[in-house]
Amino acid sequence: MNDLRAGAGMLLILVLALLLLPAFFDVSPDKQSLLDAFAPPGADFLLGADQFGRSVLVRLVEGGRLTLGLSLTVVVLCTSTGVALSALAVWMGGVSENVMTTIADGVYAMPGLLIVLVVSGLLGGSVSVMIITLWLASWPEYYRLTRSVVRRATAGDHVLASRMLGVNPNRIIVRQVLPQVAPYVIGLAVLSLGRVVLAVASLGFLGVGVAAPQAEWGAMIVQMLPYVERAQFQLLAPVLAIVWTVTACLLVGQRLTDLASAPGRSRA
Amino acid sequence: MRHSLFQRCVLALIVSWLIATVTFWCIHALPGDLALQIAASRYSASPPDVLLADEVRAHYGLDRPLIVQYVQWLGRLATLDFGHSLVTGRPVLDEARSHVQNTIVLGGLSLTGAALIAFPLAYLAASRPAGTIDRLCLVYSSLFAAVPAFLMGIILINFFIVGNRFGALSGETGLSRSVLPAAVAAIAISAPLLKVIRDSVLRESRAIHLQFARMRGVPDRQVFLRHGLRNAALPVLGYMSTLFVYLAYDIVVIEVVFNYPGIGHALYEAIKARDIPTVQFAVLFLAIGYLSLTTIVDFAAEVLDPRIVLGGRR
Repeated sequence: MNDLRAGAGMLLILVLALLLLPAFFDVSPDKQSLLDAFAPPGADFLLGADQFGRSVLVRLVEGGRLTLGLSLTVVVLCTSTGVALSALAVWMGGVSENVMTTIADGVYAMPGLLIVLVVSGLLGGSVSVMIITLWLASWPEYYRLTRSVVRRATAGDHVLASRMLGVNPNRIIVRQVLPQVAPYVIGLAVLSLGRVVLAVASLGFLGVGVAAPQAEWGAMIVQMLPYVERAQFQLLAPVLAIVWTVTACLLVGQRLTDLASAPGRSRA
Repeated sequence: MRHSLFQRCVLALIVSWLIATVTFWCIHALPGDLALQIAASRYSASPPDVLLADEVRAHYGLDRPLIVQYVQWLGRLATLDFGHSLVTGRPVLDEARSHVQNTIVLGGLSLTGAALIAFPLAYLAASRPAGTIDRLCLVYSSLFAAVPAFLMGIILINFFIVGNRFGALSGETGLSRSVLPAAVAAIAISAPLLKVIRDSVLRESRAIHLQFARMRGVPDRQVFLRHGLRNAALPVLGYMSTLFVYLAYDIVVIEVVFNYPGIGHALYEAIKARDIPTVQFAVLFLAIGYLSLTTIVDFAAEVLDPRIVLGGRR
């Protein structure tokens, strides 16, 4: 339970920082001032300045907003696709379920992240390309993971009773199946949020992520690497931001999925 | 068994075809004149020479409709003709031979290393839940699951190579060159793997039939090996295919970070240089490597679990 609280606290701090801090900034993240290059942390630059004299703190927050916004979009797209398709598949059964599962298995059989790397590398880093490729490459995982949960939730006696009473199937899915599935899916979503953040950061590090002037954590790290001798703070800041975010997501997500799957198993 | 092996091969073929198709269309969706790029990069025509570009266009058939090019290209792929690198002009297969070997060495070392870390530690952790080793393992797996592989690579490079410690580890050639990259990959893979194995072993060792075996007086050491191992292995094998997705990606990242001359590094350079045939070969090679690993794991699961029939839907 402790790690759930710790993780949730870390996530809360992160989200608050990303939402509120920009209100206090009066400089643009791309504002260069070469005289201030490598300025150490101080009154003007709380986390120092990079090689172009841009404020690392401002860029850190800017990059975080981008990374988290992008990752959240991907995760929301993937979970909703996964849940909707698996609910549909379980409900319809028969041939339709087989077809959907075969498609999901086929896509799942591809090394997804590798394809994301190649496609976004070739097409040039744009946010929409990254969102779409990450979505297309990862929805089958959600479909596979949620299908068993949906199946278990649909097999309950109360669902059978509702069907016998002639309740509208849409209503059964929304009111009875989804609430049972939700805790597990939320845990899964938080868990994979961390993974997507990692993937986005390493794409940025390779230089095939979001294009150049835009602040991004992985790109910030690779830019500061040659200057590790005189700009430790500036290098450490994005590193810690990545580790902080991913740790928070993994702690919360792991605990939530554990909690959600344990009672479900005994109920079944 | 033979039937499902056939099905797996068909699936692998379809997936390879899909991947090849995706890369083909991505490349042709790129802005810019391909022929001009080839002329510029291969025949170093600068300033860009329109006449030379036209010659290249005719020679490579780039003036034909895309769909014709696509079919011809698939035909060449089917005969394992990957074409010539646009940068060096040599056949892609000749270029890639040493890269492939290096990557296989790196991948093998990483997987072995990960197994050597994860299995013993997980067993120790699960044999005393909430004990010291279990807690340390939890810290290990949560920490390294949150540190991206490229970061670990940078830290190791700065410590060993720039800091010039342990000279044997930072060798330029042979096996010593692979040690540090393999260590990073092994740590990155073993972190989540450790957690999965530990949970699975723990769940299994609490199973009723294991308790009963202990009650019957089966020696402690034999209880798990005889009655628990098979069941505990199944979730672990199931997790492996997810793990291989990350391995295929991490290998590229790690080879780039360490400047390791493998196929992932070649892929990265080829993407940057828009060297299309090399990109296509490298992606296909990595994808097929990934597919064969997952197929092996699926077969292991089938051997261990009589309930699973590959190719069966449920």
